[in-house]
Amino acid sequence: MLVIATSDKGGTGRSVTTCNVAYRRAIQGDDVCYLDFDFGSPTAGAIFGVERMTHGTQAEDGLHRYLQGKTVTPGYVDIWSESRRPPGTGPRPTGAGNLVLYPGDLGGGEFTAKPEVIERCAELLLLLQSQFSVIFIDLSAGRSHAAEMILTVTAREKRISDTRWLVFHRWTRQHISAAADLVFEERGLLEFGHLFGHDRDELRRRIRFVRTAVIDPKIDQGLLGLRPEQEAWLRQVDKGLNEQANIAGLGRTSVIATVPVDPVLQWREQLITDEDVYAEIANETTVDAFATLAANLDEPAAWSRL
Amino acid sequence: MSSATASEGTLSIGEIRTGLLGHSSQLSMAETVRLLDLVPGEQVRHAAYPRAYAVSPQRLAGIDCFMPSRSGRHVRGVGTFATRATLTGGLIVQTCSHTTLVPSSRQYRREWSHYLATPGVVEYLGRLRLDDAAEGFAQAENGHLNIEMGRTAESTVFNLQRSRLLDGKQPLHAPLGRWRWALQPVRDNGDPGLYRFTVLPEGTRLIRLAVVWPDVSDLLDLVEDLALHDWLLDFVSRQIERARPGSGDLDRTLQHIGPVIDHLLHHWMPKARVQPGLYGLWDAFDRFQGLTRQWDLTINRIRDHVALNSLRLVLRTESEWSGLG
Repeated sequence: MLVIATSDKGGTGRSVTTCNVAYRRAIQGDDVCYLDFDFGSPTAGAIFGVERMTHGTQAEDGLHRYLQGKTVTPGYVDIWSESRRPPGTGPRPTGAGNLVLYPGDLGGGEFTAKPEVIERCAELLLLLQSQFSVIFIDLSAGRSHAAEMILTVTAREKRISDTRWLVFHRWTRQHISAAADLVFEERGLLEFGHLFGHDRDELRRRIRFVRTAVIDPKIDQGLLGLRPEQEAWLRQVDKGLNEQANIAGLGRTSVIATVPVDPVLQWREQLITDEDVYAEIANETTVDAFATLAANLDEPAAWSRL
Repeated sequence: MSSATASEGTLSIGEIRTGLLGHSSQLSMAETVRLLDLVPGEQVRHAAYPRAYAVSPQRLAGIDCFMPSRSGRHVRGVGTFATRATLTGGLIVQTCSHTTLVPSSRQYRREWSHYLATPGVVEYLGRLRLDDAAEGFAQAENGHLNIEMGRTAESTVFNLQRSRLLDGKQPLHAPLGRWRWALQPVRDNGDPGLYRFTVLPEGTRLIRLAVVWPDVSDLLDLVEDLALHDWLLDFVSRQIERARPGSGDLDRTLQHIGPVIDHLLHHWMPKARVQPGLYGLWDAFDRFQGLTRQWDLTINRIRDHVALNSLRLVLRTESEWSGLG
C-alpha cells in the first residue's frame, strides 16, 4: 500500500503526523518505509530523531539524487537502530515490523519530473513494494513536481495499485478552503490526476482528509484553561467550520482522522512514544489518533464509497 | 563462470542481497530464464533438481580504488567485480557482487584488456595484508565504502523487480537480507575455520571465513546458500513474532503465518547447491549459529499452533452447536 501525504499550506503538521503514523503502523506489525519527498525541506530525519540527517542526508545518496540518476540506489536509515527518539530506542520492539527512512538530500531543492525521473520513481516504488507492506510518501506543501510525478507513476504503473492520499489541513477557515482548492479546484489533485490518466471518481475515492491541531472544547478545557465564554465561542466557531467543511467537500465522510492539539507537537516535531504518555508529557488522545489513523489506512469502513 | 581461483595471497570478497520477487506465484523455469537473461548472448544456467534454481550470466564493473583496510592502509587495486543473480524456487531472488583480490605482477596500472581477461579479479598494487583487508571489509561497519559492491547487487534487484514478467502482487513483503563476506584461503590443516559472524544493528550480516578450496564459483554457491537460509530463518521467525500466536487473535495469526506456509517453508533445503566437499564449512557455520536447530523449533512451533488453533475452532463450533440445541 502506498500512502501519500500532502497539504496545501505549510505548518499543518503533515510531516510530524505522517512520521508518527508510520511509527505506529510499524509497531502494529507492518514493515514500513517512509520516503521524504518534501524536496524543499527534508526534515523527516529530525522528526525520527536521526541526528546525522536532521535536514536530509549528506551522503549524496538521498532521494533527490537517486531520482536524478546520480546514485544507483538511494540511501536508507533503519529507524529502530538509529533513532535517538526515544533515547536508546534500541532494537525493534517485539512484534513490530521494520521502519526504514529514505531521506532526501541536504539542500536538494526541487526538480522537474522528466520521463527518466518518473521511470526511476516507478522502479523504486516497485522495489519497495516487494519489501514493505506500507510505503509512506511525504510530499511538500502545495502543488509540486513531486506530486505530479507520483500522480503520473500511479496512473501508468498498474502494478502499484493500492494508493491512498491523505490531505492534511488545520482546522481554520483558510486551511479548509486551501485544502479544498488543492483537491477540487483548477490545477488541483483531481484535475491533474485526470490529465495524467487517472479516473477522476476513482482517484476521489482514494483521497481522505486529516484535520490537525484541532481543539476540542470539551476535552481541552482544562488543558488550555478556557473560560466558559471562550468555550462557548469555540463551539460557535467549530460549528461554522463544520458547515464550511461540509460545503467544501471536506465533511465528516471524507475525513479519516482528527489529530488533537498536543503541547509536545507544538514545541517540537518528534515521534511520540508510549513512554511520553506514561510520563504524562504527551496526551493519550494524540497517540490514539495516530494509532487509529495507522490502523484505518487499509480499513474498508474508512474508505467506503462517498 | 569466474575464472578466479582462491589460493594463498588472495582474498575473495563480496556482497549478497536476498529477497522475494514481487510476483503472486512462483515463476516457471521458462520465465525464470527470461528474467535472468541479463547479458545478451550468454546462457542462463538452470537446474530443476534438487530444486528449481537458475543463475544469470555475470555482469562486470571496472574499479580502480583503495582496497578495504581495517587499519586505514591505502593499497590501490585495479580490476573488475562481477555480479550475478540467482532465483531459487522461482521466488527467492539473490544477487551477488564479488571479486577476488590477487597480487599484481607489476607495480603500475595496466591496460583494461589485461583486467578484462580475468573477470571478477582485482589486482592490488603494493603490499596488502589480507587479514587487514578481510577485517576492514567484512568486520567493520563501514567496510563497504571503498568498493560499493552492495549498491550494484542492490540495483540488480531493482532491475529484476521491475521486469514485465512480474505482476507486483506478492503474497508476502520481505525485507532484503544483506550479507557482506570475505573468504580467505588457508593451508589445508583439516579443520575449516570460522572466523567471525557479526550482525549489525540494522540487520546486515558480516561474515569472515577461512577456506581450503580453490574454486571461487563453488564458494559463491556456499555463501549464497548460507545467506539464503539465514534470511529464510530470520524472516519466518519475524512473521511468527508478528502473528502473536496465543494472543487469541486468530485472524492476525493466519494473516502472517498463512502466506509463510503457502510460499516459504518448503524452500528450506540446506546445501542443495553446495559442493559436497564444502559441507563441512556449512555444518561448522550451522553449529555456531544454530540455523537448523532454530528452524526445526520454528517449524514445530508453527505446526503446533496450527494444530492448536484447529482444535480451538472445533471446540468453539461444537459449543455453538450445543448452545443452539
